[in-house]
Amino acid sequence: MRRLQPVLGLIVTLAGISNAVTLPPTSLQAGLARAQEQFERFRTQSPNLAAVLAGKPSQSDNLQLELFQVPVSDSASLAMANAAQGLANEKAAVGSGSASILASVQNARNQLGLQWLLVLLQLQNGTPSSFLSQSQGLEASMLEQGWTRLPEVSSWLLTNASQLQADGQVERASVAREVAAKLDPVSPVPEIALFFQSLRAQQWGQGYSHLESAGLRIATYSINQEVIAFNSLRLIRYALALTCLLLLLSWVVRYWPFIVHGYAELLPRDTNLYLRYGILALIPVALLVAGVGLLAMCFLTAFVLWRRAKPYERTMIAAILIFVGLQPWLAGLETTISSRFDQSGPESIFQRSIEEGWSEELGERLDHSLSRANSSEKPILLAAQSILQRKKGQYQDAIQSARQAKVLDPGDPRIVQNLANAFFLVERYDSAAQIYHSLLGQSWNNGPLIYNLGQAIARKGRTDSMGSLIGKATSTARYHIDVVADQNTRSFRTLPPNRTVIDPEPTAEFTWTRVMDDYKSQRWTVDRWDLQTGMLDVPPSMLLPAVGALLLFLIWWGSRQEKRKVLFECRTCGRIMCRHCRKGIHCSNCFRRLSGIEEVDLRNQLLDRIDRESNGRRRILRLTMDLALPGTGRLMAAPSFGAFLQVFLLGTCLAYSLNLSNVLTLYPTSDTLIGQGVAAGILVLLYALGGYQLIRGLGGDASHALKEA
Amino acid sequence: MAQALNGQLRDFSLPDVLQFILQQRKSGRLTLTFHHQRAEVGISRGNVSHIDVDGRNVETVIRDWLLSCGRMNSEELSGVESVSRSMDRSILETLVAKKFINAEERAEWIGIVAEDLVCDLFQWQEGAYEFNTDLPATSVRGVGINLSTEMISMEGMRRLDEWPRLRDRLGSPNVQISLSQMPASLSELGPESIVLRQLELASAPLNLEELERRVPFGKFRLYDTVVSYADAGYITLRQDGKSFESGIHMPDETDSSRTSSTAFLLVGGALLLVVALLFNWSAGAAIGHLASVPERGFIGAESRFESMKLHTSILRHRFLSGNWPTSLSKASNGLELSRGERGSTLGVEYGYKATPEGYSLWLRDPSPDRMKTKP
Repeated sequence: MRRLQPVLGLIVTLAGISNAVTLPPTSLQAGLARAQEQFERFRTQSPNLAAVLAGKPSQSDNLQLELFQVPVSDSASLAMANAAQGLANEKAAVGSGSASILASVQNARNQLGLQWLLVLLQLQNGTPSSFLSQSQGLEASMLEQGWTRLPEVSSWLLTNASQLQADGQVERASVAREVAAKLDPVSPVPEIALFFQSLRAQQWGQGYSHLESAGLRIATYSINQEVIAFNSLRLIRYALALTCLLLLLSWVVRYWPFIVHGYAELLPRDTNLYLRYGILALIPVALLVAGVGLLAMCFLTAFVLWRRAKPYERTMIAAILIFVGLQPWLAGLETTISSRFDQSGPESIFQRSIEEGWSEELGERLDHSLSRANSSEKPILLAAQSILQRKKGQYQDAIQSARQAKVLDPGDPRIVQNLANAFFLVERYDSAAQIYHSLLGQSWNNGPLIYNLGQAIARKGRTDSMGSLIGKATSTARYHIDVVADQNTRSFRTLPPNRTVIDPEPTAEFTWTRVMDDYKSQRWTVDRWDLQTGMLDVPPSMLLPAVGALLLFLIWWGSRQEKRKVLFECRTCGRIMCRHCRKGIHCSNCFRRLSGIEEVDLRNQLLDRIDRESNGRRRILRLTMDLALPGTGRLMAAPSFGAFLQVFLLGTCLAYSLNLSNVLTLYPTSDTLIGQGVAAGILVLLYALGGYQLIRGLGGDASHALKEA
Repeated sequence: MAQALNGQLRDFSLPDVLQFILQQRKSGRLTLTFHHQRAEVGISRGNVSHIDVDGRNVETVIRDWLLSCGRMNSEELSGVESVSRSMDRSILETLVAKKFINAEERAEWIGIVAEDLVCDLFQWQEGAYEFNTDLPATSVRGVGINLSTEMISMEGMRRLDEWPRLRDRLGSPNVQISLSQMPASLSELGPESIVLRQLELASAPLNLEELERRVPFGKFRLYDTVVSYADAGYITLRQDGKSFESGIHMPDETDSSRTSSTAFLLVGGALLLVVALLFNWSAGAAIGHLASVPERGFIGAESRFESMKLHTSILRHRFLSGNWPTSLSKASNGLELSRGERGSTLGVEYGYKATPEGYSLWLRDPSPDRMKTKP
């Protein structure tokens, strides 16, 4: 123990060196947290109004009095008081509270977090109309401040909608989902939720319309494609990895006696051989528990299996090893896509500057990243800075930043378009239109560009230009323009500056070209490549050469003749035996049973019985494997395409159900996990099949084997 | 001639060949050759019916033994042989008729000698084999051998395995063997008791080579018999004038020893897992903290979606209950979070702490930071 103390001390010291990585909430979430604190204060200040908002009994006579007592300087309390008054009026008569709610929206104009809270309270305790009025106010405020989407609010509303649906409040749930789709016009998830709602209501036409919208959202916004690609890539990688592990597992079980018999003979020989095999099976389990990663175990497994494996199994083991060797490259592609979501990465900051209005947190993050940016990252960060300055109303600064960005990277159409947007907002429509025209030659797929060009031409007096431009645009570009136009029509009579132009979102082609360029240049090094080898980590670049060397060694080693045969199979029961435990051509067990019996008939009967017993044992093992991991038993006994398919299906479903719930959501709610039910259903089906095979097997020969065993 | 089967013993060993012929229930003659040695095994419907190794067969072995142990002289043997030739029958039958041996002895010796001769062949690891179905399974004057191939294969392989152990236990062929006590009944010991009779007849201790000439056994049977008689205390073994034990007595396997070994194995297995867990805990703590979670790169998608979900869950819990959750698992009341969702896909647990001002969420324990800020 004394010798261990320095080691433990070192471990503790090393643990202390590490830094914490705190995860701050988004600015909107922080706003909601502040609003919740404000609401707590509001409870003491105006108890009856707060009770109305919280859905509790209140003295209606005091509401007016409390409303008048709210200090005019306290905009948050005023907003809550007006919202409460509006809610109370709406409950009394539909439509009578909209003026108060509108006043509440005006009071909380710059506090989206507070408006979010009021929307939630209206949904929970108000009427559908009060909820709609409040959420329309939230949408208008968000758009006015330069936000394009509120995924946090939208996902919360979807969760509420699911609960309302479960409680039988179908109408309220439907309204919540529609609002969710409006507050996040980018993600396909709210549209998919509406699609399922339409299916439940048997409104097929509407269902198709929502599904089409979901598809268009995916096609239009490259961020959705990136998320789907990232998740699909990870799913495929995990599914293949799990399938490989299941294959190796079934082979290890099959060849386990061959692998460990020699070691089993070193353990006390007066114990059951199968117990010794079981105890030895704990060694790989312990290695896994100790932290030797699954892929390191793959190497070990390939090594112990190779000599026993049949030619087709060797081919598959080689393929598995190569798959392992390619992990850093596959994970590298994942990393490249993932890096685009990195909160402090330039792409993510640029995306956030488009999606969000200005916030202190985003401003600080941008400044921090700019101070550390290299030459390739700086242009896009300057463009992001320009967008945020524009959203704050600092138009000259925005032009300055946009110019700097264009000087550094004139080849990025987003940067160039942003300069044009900056010109547009200072009414330099000719300059803006000229730049838009120069960019339009590249693509009619760019909705923001076409919309902005149309606006610029219209501002110069040609109002018919927008129609002809939209006529030439692709369907995804048209969808993008329609969304913006609908938002503007719904929320504004006069467009605020932030709504006159659309920020330059990257097109799908541009995004994927950039992703592949980043990948090829290995800009994102693979520090962690997942499914890693654990304690025995191999540097990513060394993994493929290591796999190659291992394969060459295995091929050389496998082709060598064994100098001396050390393991034999009992001729009667098929049990593995060595020189110590065999008795002639039989294992000691069969020898004991057969010795001394010279009568041929009796001997033949005994041989048949031993044969039946060993077949029964093998069948039970196979069925147990099939029950635990459907398909592996079949694969072990009689490999066929069906068995491989079953194992692959199991691997895919397990990968989806067990590993990917965190990242496959697309959205911060669990109930939108796409296809979770389907994956669970397939898993259930596979296990039911395993159970059926077990029952069918036990009903036949295996039942005899069980009795005799 | 019809060669049904031929090949090399290094490819298919003798038991394999015999098993194959047994499965086919074939009859014929199996010839084995290795350098100048030649053996012929007659097979009748899969079972052994004749054996001859370099001219030594059951008849010659028994004849030579009778001569060497003095139960008949060479003149009597010539007479027996001429009678057998004239009557065209086996020498053994004539020996029985002339009462040199009785019928029971004859049957016993045939079985023993044939078994020993066949089993000796199992030591042939190299050489060629050839099975010919046109040749007769037995000789003209067959002695009536009928050995089960299954049994003889088992016995032959057993002898191969046990031979090194026997040889080691007896030391050298010069070991002196003397009778120490006669058992109460020789008949219970079977035909091998002839060893004791020969030692009783001998006036002085015999070594293994001398004893081998006086019994019709193969080497294995003789060594095996000597070891078991020495273990039973009937004979004494001496090497260079000193008596020695023929080997270490294996302790009897008892239920209690078996139970304790099983318990030992189970406890060992459990300990193995506990050690692995401890190793994982200590090394995982160190390596997990050492592995810097990169500020950029892989943390992208995971932290963005995971943390957004966790914050939503915590805020929703507050919205529904009025209080911050005390732990992340409690936060699941706000927005359903599976166990997997409460942990990072980076393999690191999320940390959460409710504070009077709100809460903090982190991917690493923030305490080291606090430690650093202390003066």
